Amino acid sequence: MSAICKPNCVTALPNFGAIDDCDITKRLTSGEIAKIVFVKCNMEVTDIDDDLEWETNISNDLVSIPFVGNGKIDEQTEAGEMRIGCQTVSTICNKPFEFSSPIVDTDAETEWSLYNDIQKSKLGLTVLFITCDGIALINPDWVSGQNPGLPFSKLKISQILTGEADSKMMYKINGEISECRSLKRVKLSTDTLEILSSTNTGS
Amino acid sequence: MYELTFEVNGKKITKSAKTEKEVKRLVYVYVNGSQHEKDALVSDIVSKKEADKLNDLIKPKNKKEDVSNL
Repeated sequence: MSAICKPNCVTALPNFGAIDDCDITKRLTSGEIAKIVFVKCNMEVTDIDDDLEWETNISNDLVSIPFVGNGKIDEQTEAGEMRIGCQTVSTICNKPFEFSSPIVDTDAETEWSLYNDIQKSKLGLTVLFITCDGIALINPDWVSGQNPGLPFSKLKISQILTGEADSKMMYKINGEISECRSLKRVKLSTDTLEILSSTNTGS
Repeated sequence: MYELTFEVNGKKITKSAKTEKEVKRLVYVYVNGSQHEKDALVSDIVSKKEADKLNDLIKPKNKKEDVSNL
């Protein structure tokens, strides 16, 4: 047990009591990711909920949104432990994410090439997510004029054919976000959601 | 109706909110900082609005007084 106490490390503790949690069902939100969004890592966003700004960025090829699917963000893993002030401190923190979609281009069979383009551009991309409730999960540090995406330390795109009877081929995107903190949740307006979810910029 | 302008590094965003809840949601999206800092900003915005409302209520009263003085 540590005898080290640094009260000046605490400015003001958060007050959860300020949020009324009596109506439990009203306080729940989707744990499912419906869309994964890749953005160019130097793309600046002035207003995260401006549909016209997203539309412009999409038409300037700064945004790529693979087909709708299903995804999740798992519990983070911590590594690089050091002992500081009699506490074990992790210096590396990653949140694993996974997204899969069975949607393919059955007209021209082109989607494999688009996934390959994402794979080869990965050094210049950041990622953000949209849940089934229309909430964008973005960089917790985002403010106007910065990139809203999350840098990742790993990105793998797999084309999966299980070989099972009646199964469908699917694309699976796995990766790890280099972020320890919780992601900023932003409720998007219907106009912004429409641009982000109706436009298959990957197709 | 609340008219909010957020400015960071010369970038301006103007948003409008109908309720105090919406003001809070917008402040949490567009401003970084601790809960206390953000909540203090929300209180400032809401109380300024309340003060403006009071001023609006007072103004016509003054006008009436002016008329009666004539």
